[in-house]
Amino acid sequence: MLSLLPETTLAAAALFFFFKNLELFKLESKKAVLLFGLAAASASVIGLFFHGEFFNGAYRVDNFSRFFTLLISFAYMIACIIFTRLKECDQSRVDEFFFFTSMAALGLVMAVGSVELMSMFIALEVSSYPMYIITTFRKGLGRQFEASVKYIIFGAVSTALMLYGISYIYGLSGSTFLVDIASTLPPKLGNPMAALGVLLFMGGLGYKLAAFPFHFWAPDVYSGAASEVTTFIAALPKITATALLIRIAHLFTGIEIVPLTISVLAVLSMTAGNLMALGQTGLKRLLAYSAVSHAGFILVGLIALGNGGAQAAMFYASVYALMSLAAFMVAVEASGRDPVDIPIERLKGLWRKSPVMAVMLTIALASLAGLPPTAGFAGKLFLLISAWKAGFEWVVIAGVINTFIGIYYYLKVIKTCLVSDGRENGFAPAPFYLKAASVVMAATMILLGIFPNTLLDMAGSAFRALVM
Amino acid sequence: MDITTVTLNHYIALSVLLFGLGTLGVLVRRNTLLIFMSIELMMNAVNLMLVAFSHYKADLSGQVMVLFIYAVAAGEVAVGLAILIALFRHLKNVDINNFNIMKG
Repeated sequence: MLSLLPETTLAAAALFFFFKNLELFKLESKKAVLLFGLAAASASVIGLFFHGEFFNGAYRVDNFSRFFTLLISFAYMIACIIFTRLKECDQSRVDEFFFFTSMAALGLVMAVGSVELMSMFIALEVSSYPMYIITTFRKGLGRQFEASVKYIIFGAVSTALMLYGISYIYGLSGSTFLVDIASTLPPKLGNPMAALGVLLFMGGLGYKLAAFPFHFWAPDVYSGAASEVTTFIAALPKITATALLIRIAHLFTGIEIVPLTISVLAVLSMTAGNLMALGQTGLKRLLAYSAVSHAGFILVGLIALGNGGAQAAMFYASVYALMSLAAFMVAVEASGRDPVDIPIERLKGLWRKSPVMAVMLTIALASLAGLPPTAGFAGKLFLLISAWKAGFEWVVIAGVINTFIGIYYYLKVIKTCLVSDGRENGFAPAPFYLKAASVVMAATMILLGIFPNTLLDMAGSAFRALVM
Repeated sequence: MDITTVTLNHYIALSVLLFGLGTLGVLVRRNTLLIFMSIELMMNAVNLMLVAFSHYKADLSGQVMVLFIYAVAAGEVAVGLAILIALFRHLKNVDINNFNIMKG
């Protein structure tokens, strides 16, 4: 029973907040969410040591799924720490908000454990609906509904694409279980239906990752939703998307056209994201376009799965989740008074008001830009090395050029928060636990950059569980 | 080949046509309700395909999937329409050309 502990903990959190909504408990919601975040993270650590198979083979708990469960649960814990601030979210809906986020985290964890196409799809939908709904949970009027409608339309279309892909894969192999597909598919890999099916399926996941050309929702949803909601949407679904992309790409490694298409999309995604980010004045829109370019980097790992690309993509997804949570932790601190986005000027004088936050933001942005000795540099290096080994030299060149473009706009934000002076910005002093969390996160980003091997080896052993 | 027999390829062709029509509808329609209807058309193309494969492969799991997809699509539309109603209260219409407060 212990092998389902992480899922049970998240389900318990969701149930708790559901009944809390009916005013059955007296416990303060913000304390409870912190408690459940810590519980989920510790449950995922315990869960690492127990494996098993459930639901007639449709749900498998192994090294691969537990690696991603660990990432999602820790990201959920950091998100829960940020949720205790809740500046832009509608205060009367706090319990609903926590219910939906726990439910979405549960769906994401279930999706990485599923080894059957239909349960994978259902789990993804369980995670999507709460995110559509929480996008509207913002104080004030107007923008958030527009963002949510855009989110749901893009989401529904990509769901339909993914299902169409599933129907082709099912038609070709006659089964929805990945084990059966892996055994019946190899002779039929030359069939164009296989390529079409897997590419459509990946398109649906590309939407979760905000990769080109499925990224159009990202800037509007990031800036229209409350900052706390964006924190969640920016980090957690990307981990699951990476996991499922690796699972599917590994299953269809024999098709020539798939790595080629992914490499083109990866380069387009990096370039489009970076070029659009250059002109942004809003912090959340800038982070949205930077997310698009990072989605491109994660895709680079998929074109060289066997050459260490899978480990590199897993490493980069975990590092990216951490970096984006760190950046959004500061964004939440800076938010609360703007109709749509947070202007970057708001960060002026952050160095004076809250040095800990300023240092963490600097490290997070340096890591996003890929400057050594941060984790983002190590991640980009591993990804580009794997692409080089697989013979995609032009992707490496595009990646390096894009890293240089990225440095420009990240440094602009760093300059604003470290150098420029601002007097009336009035950051409320952050509570002790938030400062402690930001010190730990900043230290992790540096340590993973200097000693990346621990996490990389973990990712490697997780990927080997998938290969077997 | 006898022209009166319906083969798997006929179903695939019809499904591709339906899916294409749905995609076209999503891209050109300006009314959000009609966009949701087009998405339903795409979902039904998927369902047709699954039922056809299920029949010709004599495997029932495809038809079970269709039931799941119906339930999920209904849920998706329920959430979507709820959000659309909330938006309608602000804008007084559901024309997507008005959803341009956020740009860039």
